[in-house]
This record gives sequence, C-alpha cells and structure tokens, in this order.
Amino acid sequence: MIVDDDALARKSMEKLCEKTTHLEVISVCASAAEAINKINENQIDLILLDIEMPDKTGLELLDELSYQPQIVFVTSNRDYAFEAFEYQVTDFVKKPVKVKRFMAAVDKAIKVQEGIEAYKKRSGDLYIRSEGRYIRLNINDIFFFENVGDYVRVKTETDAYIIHSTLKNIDRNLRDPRFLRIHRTYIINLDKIKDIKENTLVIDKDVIPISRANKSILMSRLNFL
Amino acid sequence: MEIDRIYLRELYMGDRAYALEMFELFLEEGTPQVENLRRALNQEAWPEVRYYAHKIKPAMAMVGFPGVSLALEKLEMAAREENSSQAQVLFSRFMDLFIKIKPMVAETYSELQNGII
Repeated sequence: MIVDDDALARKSMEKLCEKTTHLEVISVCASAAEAINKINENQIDLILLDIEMPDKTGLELLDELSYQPQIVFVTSNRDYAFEAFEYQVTDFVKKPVKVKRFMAAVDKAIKVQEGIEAYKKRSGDLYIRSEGRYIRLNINDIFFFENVGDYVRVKTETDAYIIHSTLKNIDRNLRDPRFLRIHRTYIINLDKIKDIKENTLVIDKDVIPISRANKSILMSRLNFL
Repeated sequence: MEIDRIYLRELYMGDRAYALEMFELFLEEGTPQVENLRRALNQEAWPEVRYYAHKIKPAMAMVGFPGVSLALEKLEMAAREENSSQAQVLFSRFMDLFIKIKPMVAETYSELQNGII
C-alpha cells in the first residue's frame, strides 16, 4: 500500500513498485484516514508511508492500526529517523527516492518477510482474534474453518471459535498443505478426515459437503492403497 | 543554472516513461503548489508554509534541481521559527529560481517526449 498526500510522490512510488515483481500494489491512498480503514480490513504486508500529511501524520496512523505491517517511511525530512527507529520500521528512505535505494529497501522487506514466514512455519501455532482477545491454537488441533455469514467458525478438537474473517483471507494466509478448501463454505484439515462418501466427508461428528469442483483436487491429495 | 542531468539519470535509470510522468505532474501541480506557498506566507500561516515548502522540495529534485531543495529547507526552518522577514527573503529568492526553472523543465519535458533524451 502507498500512502502519501502528494500526487507526484504517490505516482513515483507506483512507478518504482512496477520495477519489481516482488510487490503488488493493493491500494494507493492520499490520506491517513483513507488508509487506516483499508489496512484494518485487508492483510497488507508492506506500507510505503509518508510522514507529514495534513490530516494525520504517518506516525499517528501507525498508532491506530490493529496490526503493524512492515513499514518503509518515505519522507523528505531526516528529523523523523529517530521515531522510525522507535516504531521498528523496516526502512527509512528520503525523497526523492532513487531506483537503487528503493530496491535496497524492497530487499530488506523481503528478508524480513522471509524471516516471519520461517518463524510461522516452525512454530506450528497460529493466533486467532475472537471476542476481543488473541487465542493461540496449535494448527494440528484445527478440524476445519466454516464460513458463517460475515464470520468464520474455527472448529478444533476441544472448542469452536468465531472470528471476523473470510475463507479467502484464511486460504491466502494459512499456506499449510494440510488445509484444503473443499467447498465455498469449508476449508478442512486433511489429517482429520474420518471417511468420505460421494459428496460429503466426515470430520469428528460433522458432515461436510464437498463441491464438485473441488472433489478431484481433494482426492488427488490423499493416499490410496 | 542548469538541469542536473546526471542526477536525473541516477533517479530514473533510463526509464523515460517514468521521467515523463513526473515532469508532466510537476508542470501541472508545481505552479499551484507555489501559489499555495505564497498565499500561506502572506497570511503568515506558518504550519502551512512549512507544509508546502516541505512538499515542493522533493518535486524540484525530481525535475533536475536538487540544489533548490536547500533553499526550501531554509524556508521551512524560517517558518518553524516564525521569522517573517527571513521567510519573505527566502521565498523571494526561491521565486526568482522557480521562474527560471519552469521553462527549462518544460523544455526537458519536450525533449523527453521527442526521444531526444
């Protein structure tokens, strides 16, 4: 995401992002207020963020986020370098940004992201936000994710949680080969399947539909004698 | 005073389309921004003077005048100190430069469009 109140600066960042396949620009915002809602509703990995903006500064924006993506501050003013350090941002680049300097910042962000992904894979745990708190779950204990209107039900061995998310978000962020979307309303843990009939399968006591489109993918992922 | 072509080469790395878009935006937005700065200075609206000086600074560099950024930085400082007479002098110096710079930027834009550079 690009956040800058200046049109020339926004366009410059867009053009620089086009030079690398590692970045996909999801949103370009001209104010902190416009950015805050979009950040809190979507999973943003990296923000190229101006600091001095008329409605709210980039620093004030960070204080209002429910999570902190990676941040690269893009500013004309070196005075903010100390605050950048306090917020543990990935990089701090001075405008106007040269191509080489931009690519160095992108490389830093990629390395940080790889470190985050490696930790997530190693830990085997994930956190969900439910009823105002963050709950730690072991991935092995999750049976399935079920779409329920604007929410998702997370069924585990011992409990069921309701989280504010979508199956699309979960599919994108989970990245664990044990989990497969088998229906528009279900992502299941393949290790928990008890049996499979024609168009349904059973996990614990739940009977879960399999869509025709996903049946062959499901069957290709299982070991048959 | 001349456009710093070496600086532009480092900035755009031969990407003419990128340079063209930046030059075009500068020619559209540059004068209104400078007018905003003038208005804020006349009203002694110091936060606005700082804001506009701060925004125009990188734009000058993007069209090949990184040295002019220094004049604007001094203006930002004068605005921070609310030093009216100093700010007026600095703005006046900047305007003299801006008036000379605009046609040079337009000419370079034309050269970029025609593939001369």
